[in-house]
Amino acid sequence: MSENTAAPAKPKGKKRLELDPRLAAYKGIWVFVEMERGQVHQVSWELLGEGRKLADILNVELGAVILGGSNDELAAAARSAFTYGADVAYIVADPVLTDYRNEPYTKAMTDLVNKYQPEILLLGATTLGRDLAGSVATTLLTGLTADCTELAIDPDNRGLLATRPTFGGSLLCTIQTLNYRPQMATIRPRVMAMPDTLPERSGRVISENLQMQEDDIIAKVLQFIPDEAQEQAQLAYADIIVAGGRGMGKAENFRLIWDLAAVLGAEVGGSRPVTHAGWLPADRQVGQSGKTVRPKLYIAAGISGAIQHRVGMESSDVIIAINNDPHAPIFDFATYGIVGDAVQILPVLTDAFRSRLAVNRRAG
Amino acid sequence: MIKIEEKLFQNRYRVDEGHPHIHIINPEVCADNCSAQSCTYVCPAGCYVADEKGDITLTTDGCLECGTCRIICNDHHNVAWEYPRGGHGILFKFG
Repeated sequence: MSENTAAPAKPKGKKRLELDPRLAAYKGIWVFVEMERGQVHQVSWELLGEGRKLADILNVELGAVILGGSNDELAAAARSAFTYGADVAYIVADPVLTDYRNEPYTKAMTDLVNKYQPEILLLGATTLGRDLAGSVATTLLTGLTADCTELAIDPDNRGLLATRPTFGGSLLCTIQTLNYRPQMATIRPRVMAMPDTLPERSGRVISENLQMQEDDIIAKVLQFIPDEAQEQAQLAYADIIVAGGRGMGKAENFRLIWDLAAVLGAEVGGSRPVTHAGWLPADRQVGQSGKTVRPKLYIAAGISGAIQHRVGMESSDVIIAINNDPHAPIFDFATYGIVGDAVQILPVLTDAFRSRLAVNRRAG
Repeated sequence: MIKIEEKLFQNRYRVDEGHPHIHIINPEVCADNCSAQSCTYVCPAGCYVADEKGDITLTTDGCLECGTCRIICNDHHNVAWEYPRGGHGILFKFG
């Protein structure tokens, strides 16, 4: 640790650490491209977009790490990664990487990191990403900030400033890994914007082999069981949620909510009074004692917006409120507000969306 | 003006999902036989709400477990009042 001796007063509230010279060789930003059954998780592309911005600030290369069983799938993913901004694709294809298992994935990741030495390593904060990031960080003995919502570069020391909500979102803390490399972070899906694609962009492919035999791996995948709860409410993952409150008047009027949701391909949610009255099953309740959701679009019909409901949905990208009381608190934080009776407005909205989507489908 | 639910939001609760600890024994009594509907005025957490038709909606999530509703309903004895199960309900911090 070295203090700036020329200036007698320490800079306020900031620790200055000189990076270990052995770690100064670490250069470049990597994004782990998460693949499951040949499908790349969208968060990986979001991270490549964000990684591109950081890489441009630091003037380094952006790498995409792609692990999996089949060469063709990985090559296809690499081509997509280039169009989303990657300069280099690090590929490890091995049959033991076909299904996600912590052990071989950690080995592949740590081997790549030790060989090519990136300074920043980003993963999506999915179930897979959270599992992998923890074991990679502890194996490499470096710092990891989980579930970040904001990334920036510290202009003083080129370090990664990873910001994440803590204490249930009541505090935001910015965390730096000062003296260890790579600086790791998992990033919450859907926080970063999807980047535009540049179809003609391409890059280098670096293929590596995994030094691991099937017999070395303790965990075995016996069977893949699709989520049986898929038919049930999936509020946490929905892009669009149509929610109704007591302002819907009676249980029968909820048909209007379901109609609109069906047209938009949305999930249906509700406020506490609604699930309490049995108009909706309890697993569709949004709010403090229900689910916390962050869809791209939240349509709140006949919901007053009490704080207990607000905390469960206020981080939605766009909130449309329909309420006949112009003083309802929901209008304080809604993106768009319609003052009127939801029972009359919802069918009109449903029709408008239906005809508009029909036109789009014909055009598409 | 601060609304009651904003004040209740300052409290700590562990809501016993699906096990409301207070029941209205016969909703028709509230609607037809009770003109005072005192519970809607005295409940300090605003758990009892009357609609235009006179039906009472009881939401126990914000209940402070004071017991006032049980006592005030002495004309009809229409409130089946229990404490929440252990570990549930209001959890006063620095009470």
